[in-house]
Amino acid sequence: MNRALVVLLGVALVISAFGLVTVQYRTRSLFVDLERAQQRTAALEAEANRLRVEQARNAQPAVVEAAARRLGLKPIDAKEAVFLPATNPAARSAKP
Amino acid sequence: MRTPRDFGSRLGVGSSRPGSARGERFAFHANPLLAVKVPAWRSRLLLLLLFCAFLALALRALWLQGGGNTSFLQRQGEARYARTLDVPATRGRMTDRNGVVLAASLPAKAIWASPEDVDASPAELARLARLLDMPFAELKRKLAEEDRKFVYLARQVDPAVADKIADLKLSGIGQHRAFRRQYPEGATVAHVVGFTDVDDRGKEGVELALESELAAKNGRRHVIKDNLHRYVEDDWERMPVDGNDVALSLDNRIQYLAFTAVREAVLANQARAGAAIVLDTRTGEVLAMANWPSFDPNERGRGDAQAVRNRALTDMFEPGSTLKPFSIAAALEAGAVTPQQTFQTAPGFIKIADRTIRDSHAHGVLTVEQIVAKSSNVGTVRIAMQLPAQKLWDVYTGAGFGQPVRIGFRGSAPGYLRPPNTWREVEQATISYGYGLSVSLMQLARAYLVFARDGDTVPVSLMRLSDAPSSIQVIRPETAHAVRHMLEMAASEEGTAPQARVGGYRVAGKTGTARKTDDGHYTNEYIASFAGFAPASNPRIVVAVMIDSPGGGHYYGGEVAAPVFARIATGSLRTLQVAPDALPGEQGQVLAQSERPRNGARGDGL
Repeated sequence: MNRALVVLLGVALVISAFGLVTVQYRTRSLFVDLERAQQRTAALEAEANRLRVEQARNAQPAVVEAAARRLGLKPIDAKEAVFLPATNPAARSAKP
Repeated sequence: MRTPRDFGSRLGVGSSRPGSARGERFAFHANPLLAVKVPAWRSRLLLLLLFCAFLALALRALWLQGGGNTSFLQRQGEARYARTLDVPATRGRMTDRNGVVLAASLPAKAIWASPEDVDASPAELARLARLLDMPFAELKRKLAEEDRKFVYLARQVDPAVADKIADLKLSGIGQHRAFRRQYPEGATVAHVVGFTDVDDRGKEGVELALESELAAKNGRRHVIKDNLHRYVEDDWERMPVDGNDVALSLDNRIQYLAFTAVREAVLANQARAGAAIVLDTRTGEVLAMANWPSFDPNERGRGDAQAVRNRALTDMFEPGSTLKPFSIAAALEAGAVTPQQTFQTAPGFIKIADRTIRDSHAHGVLTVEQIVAKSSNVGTVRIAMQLPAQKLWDVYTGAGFGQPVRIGFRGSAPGYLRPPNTWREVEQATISYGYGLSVSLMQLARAYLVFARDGDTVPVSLMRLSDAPSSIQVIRPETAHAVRHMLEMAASEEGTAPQARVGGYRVAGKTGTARKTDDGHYTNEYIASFAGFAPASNPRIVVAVMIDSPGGGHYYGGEVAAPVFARIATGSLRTLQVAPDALPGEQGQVLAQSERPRNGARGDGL
């Protein structure tokens, strides 16, 4: 009886030792993956930031205006604007 | 007695009888002659010694594990597999009210050298100098400091360049991660946004004012490496905390309009400097704050202190005529005058104590409205002298003169307004038309909120607000409406600032032309200013413009500053999609449409 218990516990110990090693191994490899993913996130965030800055730089009003002038456009003049009377009071109040 | 045969047979040799001899022979290993009789204690001794050796090992192991000097061993072990890493966090972004990036930190590399370890050929160093965009001699000088273990060669290098430097594989040259702050809008918003130093800490502007909000806190963690140098376990000592993003109240389109308008006005008028502010009347948010001269915050050099100064906040000047509407408002508020009441301003000057106060030319009889529209010093003084000083002071102070503008900027000027019980008679007269006190452009813009709103005011804010802040009533709404009407006249053909008019919209505003002082003496230089708002029927923006020392022959606010106002207001109102309140062709009728019925005094004295 006692002998059987010792054998059983011995087997259980060996199994759990193997389990521990496996879990440790898997933890580490998952951690390596996580680490890689996090580095990628950081790199992508930095890239997104860079692109945002680049977008802002290219969308500067000064740049847009220079481009518009190259195309022969000019700022709107009130004299050239045509205003339509708003006859519908609801439409008028709906204006921003 | 044994016979020799016996002997021989026992030994199995000399077999004379082969048959019987085979059966009796011993195998070699069992030869009794070879059996060594060893005493038993020897093997026991050996066993004991082996056991002792094992015991010694076990004790030693126990000693190393739990004995006296474990920390040293632990350190040595950790040095072989553990690392402590600084984890950089990113400083917060700054955006305008619509999310356009005004400032952001991008990764960069800091290049350092350990001079004593550098042994590169001159050709390699020349290549390094070229990549660093640094004169070869300077690189040489930095590397010549042999006694130093560490010297920065460059702090904020573009990652692509840093990679090329790494490819040179020079010994003694290393790099680590850093950040570089980028300002896509450049000089346009430079004064508001400010800039950071090489360590990404705020030095000027909002970068400094909101340092605690924007600043990132670097993290730190311990990691364990495996044989492939991969991190396999970690333990955070401190998590990195990225800085918070900040949304300013600025609108980059309006900011650009204000900036270009100020710059061109300064250049066209050969002025020393200029500034403009646009406020949202509903919330007190600053939509634009532009200064010229300016600087590019992306450049390390950054220009001189003159260019970096945010004049709209720091420079104080005597407001001159832009203050008159507040004196008139105080009189209306006290019930001392009505808008249509007439005053004799001929012969164009008035003596107060020993001082003569003059108009630019004699106007004759003017209504109170016309006194504002034509900017008559004499008329304003006549009205203001009817009031106790306290009444004037209350309105000035309520509008924010002499009160600091609390938007968190260092060096924001509080302005200067003396307490009323110290005013002498002549001072009350000069203060009423804007001399003897000083204001910043921001204070002037803030003060005009009182007229643009219904006599109440809100604190100005450089941050985007989600709700309109609560307001404080300064003057009655009726008084504000009356002054608003006078200011609309001032910006019309009959006033001092017809050039402030904007196509499609009714505008209201007041010019100011004040002499500059130097050590208490008036000089021949002027500050031309204009403060106003639009559309007059339901004001949406307040615009204040200041041009310092125009030198092109024109120096009146109506000639120099009013056109800047018109330009900024036109663009801003369109950008904000404000419905026009004066359609083209109706321009001449605008005044006739205004809220207040008017009597026949209009033509008098014009």
